[in-house]
Amino acid sequence: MDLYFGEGMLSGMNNLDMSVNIAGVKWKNPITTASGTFSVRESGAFYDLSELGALTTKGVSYEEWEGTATPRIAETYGGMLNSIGLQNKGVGPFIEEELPLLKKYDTPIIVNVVGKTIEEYCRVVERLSETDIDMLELNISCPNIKEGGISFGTEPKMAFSLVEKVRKITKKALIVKLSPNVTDITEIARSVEAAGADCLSLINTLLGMRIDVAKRKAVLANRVGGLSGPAIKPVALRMVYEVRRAVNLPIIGMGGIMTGEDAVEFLMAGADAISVGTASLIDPTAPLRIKNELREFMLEYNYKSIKEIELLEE
Amino acid sequence: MDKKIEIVTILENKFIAKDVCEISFNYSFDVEPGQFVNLYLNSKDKLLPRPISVCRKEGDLLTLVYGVVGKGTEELSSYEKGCKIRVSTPLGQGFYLDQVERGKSAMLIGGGIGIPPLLELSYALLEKGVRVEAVLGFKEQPFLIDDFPCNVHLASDEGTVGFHGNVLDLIKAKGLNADYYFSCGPKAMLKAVAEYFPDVQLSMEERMGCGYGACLGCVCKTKEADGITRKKVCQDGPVFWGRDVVWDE
Repeated sequence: MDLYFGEGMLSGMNNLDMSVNIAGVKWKNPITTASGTFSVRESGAFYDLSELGALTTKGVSYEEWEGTATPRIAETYGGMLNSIGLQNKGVGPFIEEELPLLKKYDTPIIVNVVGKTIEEYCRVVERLSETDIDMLELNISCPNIKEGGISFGTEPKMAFSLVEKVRKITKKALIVKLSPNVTDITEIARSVEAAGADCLSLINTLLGMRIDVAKRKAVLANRVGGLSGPAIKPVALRMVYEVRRAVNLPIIGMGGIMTGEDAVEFLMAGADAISVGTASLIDPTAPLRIKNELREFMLEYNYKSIKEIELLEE
Repeated sequence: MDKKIEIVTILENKFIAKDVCEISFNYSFDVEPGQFVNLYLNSKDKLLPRPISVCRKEGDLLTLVYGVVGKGTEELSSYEKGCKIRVSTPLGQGFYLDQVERGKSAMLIGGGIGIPPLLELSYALLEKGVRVEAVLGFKEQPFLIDDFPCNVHLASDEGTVGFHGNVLDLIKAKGLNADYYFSCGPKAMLKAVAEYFPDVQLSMEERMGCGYGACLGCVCKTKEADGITRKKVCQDGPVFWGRDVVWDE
């Protein structure tokens, strides 16, 4: 039996335990940040990041990526489109500059990994495996990067070979982030599970577009981009629900979570933890607020642990 | 933890020209000329903050002047006195004033909705003992011109007020110059100003996501010692040196 005294127990309140165990890593609560919407310096200027269950970084590539041209952002009804193109300085500067800042917080670190080839993914994973980060999240699903027609996130065979290769070179807990831009998300979830992933995160953004009718041009310089925010929540929720019934891996659910109630919906759909993404761009402290709202929900409905938050099905 | 979002009560929100609004509220934080604040709309369908530069801060009273350019700013312009709105602490790198010397002269070059941040700057420069003059360009209808505490040269595209033409034509025609240059306005204007006065400080505009440096939605290409880099307009800017900006986009 796993004996763990969660926050609530230590503070002597209601025996409420918000902790979760995600692929062998203990989180003090099920809330993390969605990759790309969190930056340790900037987000840390608003609240104590140690309050979160885990911190998930922006995508890290082997060498520097410049990202796409601007405009990179377009607002949509109840959501937004982005085509940042995973701008980042590369794994070297990440380890030297970002990681020490992340380590200051008392919470697990999840590093999101991007690449254009299997070799590139592997090189980043090798470097990160030498560090004391806690989990890796393979981003096989960013809609803004397309290289030579290779699409790791939409072809189950490609996803399988990538995850299989990465699995061989790291002992770190391995999360794979899935794309919703597929016909059947359970197919790719199964192949990734078979390849040795420890956990799934879903969903990434949905490919979308906006047009400026006065200029007769796409709003985004990249023309298309990833849709996120509350507009995509029902789709994300349905996909978490489907994947839960297809695989046994833990699931980190995300897609338009704005409130504690949204988080509960994902937990009930089958997620083991949740990520807050676009909400952080609108309210930098959203992950903390959502954690507190989830806690209030548990108190109100008398849930003692996150595991108890399940769907009642006939 | 030095940043936060506050709820403020609108004291005034009115049109001062066609598609130009002035909003004011009490705001306890110190702001620097060239910085901006994020205003968060109350409707749930428009999620992203509207970054608006500081026009004037007198005591606790903060005044912002914004262009009504889309659905978000349209909604903002409909908020009435007494309405509550979420606003961030001051953000971004403002104008660099540390090296500015007493007794020298400064020229503020503004175009359209780029003019408001130059007002707070004019006061800050005067306080430092710098002689200030402003060259302000409008499409048609001028605004804020009587608020500038300095000599103002006017230009308008339509010839409705002042010089008929753009601000740079006016500067050339009158042979204006100064020790320091500061500019804010449309990209084409900033580019022309930076080519003419490479030492100018520019306040750049870009479509932003979070507006606080987390998302990398707004970037400006700049020349650095080790090549071209992409800086965050919301955090490393909005003020950049004219000579550093790469204008290819």
